[in-house]
Amino acid sequence: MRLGAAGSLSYRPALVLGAAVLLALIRLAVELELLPGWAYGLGALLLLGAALEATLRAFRLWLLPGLGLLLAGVGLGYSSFPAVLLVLAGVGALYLVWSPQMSEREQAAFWGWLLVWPSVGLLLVWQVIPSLYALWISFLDRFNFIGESRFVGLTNYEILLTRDLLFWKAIANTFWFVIVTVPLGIVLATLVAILLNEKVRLQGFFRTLYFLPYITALTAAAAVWDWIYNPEFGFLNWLLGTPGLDWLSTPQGIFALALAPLGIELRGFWAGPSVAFLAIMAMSLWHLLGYQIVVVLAGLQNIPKEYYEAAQLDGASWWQQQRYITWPLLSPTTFFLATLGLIGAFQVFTQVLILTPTGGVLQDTLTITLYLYNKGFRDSDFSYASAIAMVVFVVILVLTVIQQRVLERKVAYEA
Amino acid sequence: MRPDLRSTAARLLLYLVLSGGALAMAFPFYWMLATSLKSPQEAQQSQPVWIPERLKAANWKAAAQLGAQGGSALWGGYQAGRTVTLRIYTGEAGPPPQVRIPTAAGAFFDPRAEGSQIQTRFREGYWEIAVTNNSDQSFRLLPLVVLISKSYPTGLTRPPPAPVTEGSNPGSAYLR
Repeated sequence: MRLGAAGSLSYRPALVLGAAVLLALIRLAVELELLPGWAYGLGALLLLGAALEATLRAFRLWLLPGLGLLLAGVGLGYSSFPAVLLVLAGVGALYLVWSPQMSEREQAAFWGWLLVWPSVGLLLVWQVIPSLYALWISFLDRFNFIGESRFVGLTNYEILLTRDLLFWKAIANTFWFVIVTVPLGIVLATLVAILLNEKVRLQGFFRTLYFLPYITALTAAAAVWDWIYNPEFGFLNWLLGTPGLDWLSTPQGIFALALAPLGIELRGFWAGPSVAFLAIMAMSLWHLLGYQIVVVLAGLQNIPKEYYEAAQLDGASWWQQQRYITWPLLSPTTFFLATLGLIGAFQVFTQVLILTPTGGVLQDTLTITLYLYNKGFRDSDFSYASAIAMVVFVVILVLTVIQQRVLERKVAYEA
Repeated sequence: MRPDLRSTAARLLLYLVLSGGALAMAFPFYWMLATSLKSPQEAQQSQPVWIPERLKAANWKAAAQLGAQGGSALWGGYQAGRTVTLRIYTGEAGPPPQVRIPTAAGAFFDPRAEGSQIQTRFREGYWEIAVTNNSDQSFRLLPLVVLISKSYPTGLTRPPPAPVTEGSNPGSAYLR
């Protein structure tokens, strides 16, 4: 039987549950000395306030055991961490009494939250809170987990954006990496996938070979390429007949090298990515191509075959079919690859660290994540590293939003 | 129906492009596999070594035969009463190779060195070194030093191990 509107519980049980889970999380943080002790008091006040308000709304005698459990959990939670879980048992006991006067919808909301909280809790603990923590660290002065550091506001950002030439060098390098690898990867993958989608013998064999690089560990693959690029024993130098050419230690930009014979001297950003960085790009393309091919192949399977039949009846050539049917209808797939590729390319790190551990000659292969890593783990300046992470986050966010707005207009979602 | 490539030339081109791409994609993978089976000397060659010696069936056969002479084809060894025969191909008969079994520094008595009989003789095109275990003990390993005269043309034996300089290549020094 439901009570009147004045005593209605509405979604308060779900709210109490949320407050209880948060209290347990806060207690965990206090246990790990990430939060001061008074944060627990605050969480307890929040929970007790929500629970009491809900209890007084529709008071029953049978609510008292649940409230008792709740109070016991809060009280014992002060001294021992596991006791705080009694709070959850208390919420369970309260719900048993509450549920008969709740509508089906309200009950569903409670159970929905109950089932969602484990993953929301994990997300909070491993993703949201660390990100916020990094944001906080970026406002401190050379925080390194050991010594004291004071609050300096936006100083790290000010240094980073106005005085740090290496940061802009790293941004320029990363930018070149994105510009070269993302479109080239998509074009190559589309080409190979279209060919693989034809009726060819040994199709599975070819697909396996193309997918092989992606299943090798990136670190191991980078080490092999390091050996292939080796100036003395490298396979590439034997193949090209250029003994002694040190690919990974050649800092000249490729545009500068290409235009030097014409007497045009390019400097800085417009010199283009260095030869060493180009070598790393080739390795990255090789590694990711298999994955991109599989995604494009899945996209190709989604294109209805009737379109090709109709086009053939109209006398369209093979090339025209690809140009006017495959490429437009593949746009959701290419858009997906472009978005993920942009984000992934901005975070390129492993192969750069393995192939050029110092960031290359004259920092010509320094990417933004390698710079972040160097600042944090080499120079023990986690504040500055966090500031870099925040800036990179904003850059990726802005670029992705622009990409969504501009490119998505050309995506044909419905075939 | 998928777009059909009718002409033979187009099909040929398709297979050529696919094979070329597959070769380029698979090569670094093969190189990783092959290099993992190479000795340091083999890995550090300016001429690429396509098939490491350890992968060649003939070498496995030779190793099994040598092992069978000393004890078992699978596990090798140097058992009592067995004779192990090695060959060094020189072409012509020059000065005989010097063969000895090194003894541990400071050891008064080494059963391997004392109980072994070493014979060298020239056969058609190669020196044959026969080491016979005359003691009543069996051994797992037999250290053997063979010195060959410099008057023979070079390239007969394996080149000496190249000095493996740690850190000659910044990338690899980081990993190892």
